[in-house]
Amino acid sequence: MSQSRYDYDENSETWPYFVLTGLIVPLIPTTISYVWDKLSTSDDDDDEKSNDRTDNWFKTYNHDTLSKFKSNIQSKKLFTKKLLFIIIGWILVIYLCILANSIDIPVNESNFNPWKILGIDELADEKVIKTAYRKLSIKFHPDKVDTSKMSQLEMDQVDNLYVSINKAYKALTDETIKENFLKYGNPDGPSDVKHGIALPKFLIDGPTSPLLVLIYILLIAVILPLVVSSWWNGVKSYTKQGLHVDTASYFLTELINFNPAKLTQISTVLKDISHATEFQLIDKSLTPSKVESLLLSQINRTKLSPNDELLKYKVVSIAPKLILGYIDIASIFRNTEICMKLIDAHRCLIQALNIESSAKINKYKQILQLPGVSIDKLNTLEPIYTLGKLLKKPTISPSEFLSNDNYESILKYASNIPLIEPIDCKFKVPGENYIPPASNVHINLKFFIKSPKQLSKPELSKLSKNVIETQLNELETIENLKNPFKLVEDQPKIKLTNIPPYFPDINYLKENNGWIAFLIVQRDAKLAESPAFLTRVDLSNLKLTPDEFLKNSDAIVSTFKIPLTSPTPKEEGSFQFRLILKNLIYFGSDLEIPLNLNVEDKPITNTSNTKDLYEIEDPDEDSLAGAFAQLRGEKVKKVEYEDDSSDDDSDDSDDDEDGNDNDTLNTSDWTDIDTDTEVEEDALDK
Amino acid sequence: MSEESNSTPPPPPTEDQPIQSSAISIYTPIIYVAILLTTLIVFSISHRKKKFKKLTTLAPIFSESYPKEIYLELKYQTDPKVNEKVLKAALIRRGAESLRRMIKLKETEPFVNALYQKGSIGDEVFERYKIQAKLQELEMQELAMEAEGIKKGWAQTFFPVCQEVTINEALRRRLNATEERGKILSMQWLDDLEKKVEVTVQAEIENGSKVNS
Repeated sequence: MSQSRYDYDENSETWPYFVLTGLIVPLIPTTISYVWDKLSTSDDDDDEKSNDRTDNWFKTYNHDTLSKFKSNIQSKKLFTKKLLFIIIGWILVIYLCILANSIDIPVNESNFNPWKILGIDELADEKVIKTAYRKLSIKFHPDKVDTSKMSQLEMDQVDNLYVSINKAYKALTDETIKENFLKYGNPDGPSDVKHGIALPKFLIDGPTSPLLVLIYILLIAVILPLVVSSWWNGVKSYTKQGLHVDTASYFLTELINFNPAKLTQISTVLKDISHATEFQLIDKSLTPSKVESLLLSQINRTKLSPNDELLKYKVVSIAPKLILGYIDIASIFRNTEICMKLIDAHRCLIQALNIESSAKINKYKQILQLPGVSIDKLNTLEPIYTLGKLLKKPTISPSEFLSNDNYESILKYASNIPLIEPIDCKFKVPGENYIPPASNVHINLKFFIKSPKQLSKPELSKLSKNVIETQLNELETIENLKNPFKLVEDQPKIKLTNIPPYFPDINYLKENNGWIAFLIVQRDAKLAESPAFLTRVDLSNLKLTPDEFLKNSDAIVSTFKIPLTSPTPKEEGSFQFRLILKNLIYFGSDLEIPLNLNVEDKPITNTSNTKDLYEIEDPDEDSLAGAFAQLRGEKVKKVEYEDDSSDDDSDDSDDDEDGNDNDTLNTSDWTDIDTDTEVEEDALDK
Repeated sequence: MSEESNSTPPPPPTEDQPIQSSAISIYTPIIYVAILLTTLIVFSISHRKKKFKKLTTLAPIFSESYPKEIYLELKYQTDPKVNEKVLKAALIRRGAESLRRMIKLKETEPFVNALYQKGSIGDEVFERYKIQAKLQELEMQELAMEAEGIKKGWAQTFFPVCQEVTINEALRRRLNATEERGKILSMQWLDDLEKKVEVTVQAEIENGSKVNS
């Protein structure tokens, strides 16, 4: 091995390209994703500016520390590691480009460029080539150049130059040489393949070679396994939903040991949450009991020492994420009770309300979530419990009721809270007008988004033609049948219309505002499916005045579809469900709809043609022959009663609290629909 | 090698065969293999030990079973020998608690499997769950043996009795909790005014029932 068979990068002409490639491969994707993120969030930011900032007219009890924390988060969001990498990366790229450009690569076989040698344009025709060649050959012909004063080296150089000029001329004019040049990039024909190392020779053959070996060993035997194992451990220590595995296992054991006799409370679920490992990762000193006290101080709106206050913000900003993770696990256990309490706890943390502390706070929670309203100032003799009542038909004037100077701003905040006004909700199988057995079904909910200040809902006939055609009645085009959820996906993401003042992390609210939908089986009051999230809705109805909403046809209909993971049952029958939509942020924007799943096995109409004409038909169910056939266990024709489902219902739905499911045959005719806006609308009708 | 070359006429030195330069001892590959094998063995032993240690330190899913502790304490108490009836009662309590845990595990098994498949829980807790199920089965076998030990042939009737106790206790728990639940809920939902109304209504009902009786 005395003679090295490899070329080294002695002139440092290759390594810049090498490094450049290694740098650009990760840099370009990161830059694109960063720019994309910025572009998609810039719309939100524009919208935010148009919003009224609650800070202007209302300051929370902990305003100073909270606003400091919030601005810290925002600046952290602006200067991320990603941005730093992108900036440094592009600076390096520019530097390397300049470096690579400035390197003068000596001419050799590998980079033979006849045009450059002759000093002409690549598009030059034969005439130009000839004249250029003639000029150069006269100038550099060994006989013409005065070599008397030159050294041997210089004379060789002149010779070489003349040879290369000749070669270049031939490469452009001689047919065979030209072909060689085009094929192999070299007028002499194919040359040997060479392997090189993009490192200078002294690093490998010189005294520094042990260092290089050491670096290689470190890289392959130490750094690579460490990086891979730490990455793998990181992947393994978090679940797919982003929960720490220890947290997930704590939640799991809590659910396995769930005691149905004990009443689940917001305080108990907060206690469960406080055991999460994520809190210890923020600060080692955070024991579960400490976290619990911090969470309670958030919902009780108590002020702590500045240090604890800062810890509280950190704890409170990640707690909702943990709650959603807990819901994910609890929903697999089909545990309705815990899921409902978790949603309440989620809202309590965001609105800083302890609705369990007293009946008064619980009753007035919709009003108390508004900024600047507190229970001691509220006139609690007046039965104004809902936002709708406050905005539409208050028993006393809002200023008296709230006893706050900024009542106009408060009312405006309240009117920006979106409510759901359902139009229609049914089970749907794409391309069918009934529900066949063992089919993939989804729930199709049509609704208006409305502000609490808007009355009732517009008549469907008054809506604009466009809305009726595209939103209300979905055409069964091939595209719609292929992907029935496209209509939902096309709706814009829900934007945050208000900024709840007590919650420290606005970014979380921006990502997680909307509704969570639970489907509950009436028979055992347990969850039928994992919850779905309603995150895409057009909120433009909120900006309409009550008149525009009701009389003119500017209102927009929204759609929400929930796919069911399990197919419909194999047998015919009717099955009762209850769909519950709960807002993740606000109190008073929930919805509960009873749903009836009628599985029918209708015969396909054109089978009658292929049927044997002389076959004896199955006897009718209600005939004497039918009764006998039934006794013998033979098939009978089903007689379709108009209201057979309600007969079937009565058995399975005894435990239904409302007992109103006799009318669920027609889903548009809800008798026990439970919206939060119902109460005051009844009052208005009187 | 050198001895051989002495006895035989030395081969003519050829340029193609510079054999002498690679004088690698026969021990080199042996040492290499030995080092490789020992490191692998040491690694596997330590890895297994670590794994075993981890398994032993895993927290159980259920908390300690007090009925079991009580039974064992009673069984090995010698000073005043425990009455057989007391021992039997303690065993039935222990059986009832074990059965409750068994039912819980059966009930939650599909949920835990679904969560594991979904990736919502980690490997460790799933392992813990499986170990717990195995332990619970062992506990059942132990219970059957204990029952046989106290009285031959009792094991057959022992488990139905335990099941009855389990169900009865579950009912009792729910029943006893209603009052507490009512208290908490009324605290959260009823104003002072409404509370007063409720109290008077309740008093009237009581008066009415007194009159009737």
